[in-house]
Amino acid sequence: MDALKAWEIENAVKLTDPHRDALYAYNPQQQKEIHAARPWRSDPHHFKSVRISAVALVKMAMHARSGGSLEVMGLMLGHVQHETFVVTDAFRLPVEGTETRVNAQSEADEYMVEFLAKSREAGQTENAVGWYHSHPGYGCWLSGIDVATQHTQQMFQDPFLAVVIDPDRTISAGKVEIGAFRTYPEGYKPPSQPSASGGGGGGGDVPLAKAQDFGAHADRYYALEVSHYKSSLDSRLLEALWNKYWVQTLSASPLFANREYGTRQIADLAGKARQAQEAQKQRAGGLVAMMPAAKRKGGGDEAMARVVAAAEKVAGEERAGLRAAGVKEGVFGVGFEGLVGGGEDEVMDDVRGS
Amino acid sequence: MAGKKANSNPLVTNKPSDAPVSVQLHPLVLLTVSDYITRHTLRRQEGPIVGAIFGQQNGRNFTLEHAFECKISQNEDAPLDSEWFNQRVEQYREVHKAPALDLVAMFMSGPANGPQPAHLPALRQAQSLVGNDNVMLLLFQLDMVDKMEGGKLPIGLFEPYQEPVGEQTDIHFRELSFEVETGDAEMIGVDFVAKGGGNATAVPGVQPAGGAESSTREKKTKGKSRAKDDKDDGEIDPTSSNVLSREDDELISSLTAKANAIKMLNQRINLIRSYLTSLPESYLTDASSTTLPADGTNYALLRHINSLVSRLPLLAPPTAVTSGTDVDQAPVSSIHQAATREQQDVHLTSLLAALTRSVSETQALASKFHMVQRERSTRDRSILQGMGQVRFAGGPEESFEPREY
Repeated sequence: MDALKAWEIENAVKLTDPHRDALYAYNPQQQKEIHAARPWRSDPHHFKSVRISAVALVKMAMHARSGGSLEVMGLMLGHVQHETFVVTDAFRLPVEGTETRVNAQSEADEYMVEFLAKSREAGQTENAVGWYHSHPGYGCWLSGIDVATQHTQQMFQDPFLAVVIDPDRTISAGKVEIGAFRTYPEGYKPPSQPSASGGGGGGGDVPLAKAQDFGAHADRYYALEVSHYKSSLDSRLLEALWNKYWVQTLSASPLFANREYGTRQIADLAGKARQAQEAQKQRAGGLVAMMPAAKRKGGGDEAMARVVAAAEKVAGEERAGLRAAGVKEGVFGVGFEGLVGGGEDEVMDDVRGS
Repeated sequence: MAGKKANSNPLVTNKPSDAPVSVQLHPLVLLTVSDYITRHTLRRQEGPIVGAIFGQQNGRNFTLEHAFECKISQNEDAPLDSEWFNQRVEQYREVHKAPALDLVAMFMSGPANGPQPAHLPALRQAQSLVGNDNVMLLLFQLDMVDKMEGGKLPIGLFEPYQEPVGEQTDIHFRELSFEVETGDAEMIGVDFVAKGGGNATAVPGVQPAGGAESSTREKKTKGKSRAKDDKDDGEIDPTSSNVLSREDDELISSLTAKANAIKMLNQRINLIRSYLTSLPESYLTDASSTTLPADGTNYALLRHINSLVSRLPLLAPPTAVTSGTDVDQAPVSSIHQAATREQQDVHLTSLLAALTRSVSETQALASKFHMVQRERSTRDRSILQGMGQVRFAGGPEESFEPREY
């Protein structure tokens, strides 16, 4: 055992780079000092960015996806460095949200405490630095309940962070849709740009059913810049992995996998268009002359512009899916002509010829 | 894999298994192990690297999906802290109910030639704790990381089997091959992580604070200007140095990924071809050939290639039953029909989006026109009142700036 241990240590040290992998180290003393100083109390905008480890990111994305159309929730471990949250790991909580909201219940609390204690015993000495949950299909922002939850957490467990992942959009956009947020303290009014900055995604993406919820709380929180990090060992493994999973890149079929989501988006768009139309009609009905020009311009055109943006987004996603199908067809497909007359022979000829 | 080198390892046999096992490894397991090793090393934590892997078992099919590290006790014969282990396994079972995952393997670090006697106590203990003798062993071969070639991952997977030796049974190992399998969200996540250049250098203090601030500020103005410019094509954002729109960026990255994958496919096919051409002529194609196949001919590999080639015709999709009305038409496969329908759907969506844009633009035009009209009529009226008979006849372009008059 001892010989193996020595061998292990010697080899493992070679694989890590103390400078490049510095985020993996953890200094409890330093964290204690930061916690004692609490710079985030005086400045509501103290935290500016989040760095998420490769493991945590993949875990969260998979968890969000596994929930389907249900919201799922989990916790993140990590520490703070200056004005940045460093998320080192994430774990699931046994909570199943209803369609629209996630609420940590007492059983989850117990699980959470137990889980954290076990992690600590096994050497993950970090504290919980935040929670994540999924918004399947409606974008990354905080709802009223989320804001309340996050606000409570920031009161009692600061530094704390809220992360939202949209698994449906992750699939359709081909990249992880993630947002990180912190709420402002009670009574604090953000200096400027109230609505657009809060949601990160912009109002056009939020479905009709959620639009009110989105708008009502958008000035109570702000978005942090999200980036991810990986260790030098991770990057070497990922390089090797690419050699294994390139097949999936070719075989994935986003149009098919996301058909339901696409349909929902279109239905939602139709609702929004109807709303814009109603608004238009009302304005046309006589009031026009009395309203000042500038004001009129603001309301209707913006609603319309949002509809246009949403429509183009849907169309863009669909086109991307078609392109994937097209590439697949181009590479593997046997054309119509080949099929009609003895396609098999031709294929076999091709194969033999090559 | 490392099987040939492992000949010298008394714990590993080359005896083929009676019931072949298929194992699918998810990248998350690898990332977790790697994360653990990095963290373990940098925090100078004591103890060997030991962890558990969760997955599904379906007959002889296994998946390895999640992993976590284990708490180590001081006891040499039972290195795992059994109470801790049981509770942790229970915690993981609780959050992985659908599909239900359970402990299928343990991971440890080990040399390239396979399991050592030192690995046995932990594995035995895990097996007895969960009551499953088939818990596999995944060795992360630390010394192989520098020798990764052609995408060979530095891990070996071993299936234990009991061999009765006299009174007692001994654990021996059989090396298993595995495939890397990813779920859709997992693939995107891994791809996302792999592409991004972020390394894990510490967050420096003062300097990037300014940087981060300015970038968030930039983002905010960006968001604001986008909201404003939405109607006149806010694609090109003057505040950002990046002239590509988000759509273009996504397009480029998705196409690059596809191009890389196709390149890879091409490489693989070329590899097979060059291997085949390097072999001597077969007497099946050339009856006069008398050369015997070389001793080292890898028949298994040739059979693999053969089965791959014979499966290729399956790529031609089956044709649908033609309806009686259009007999003249060539039969079209159902998959083509589906593809065409899909294509039409997408084009329809694009068309609708374009229509929506036109509607919105028409609306903008109408309201502008309306403004001009009104401006003109008021001016006409004022001119009529102020100047009497002189009638103003300005073009609509000029009337856009009525204040100049």
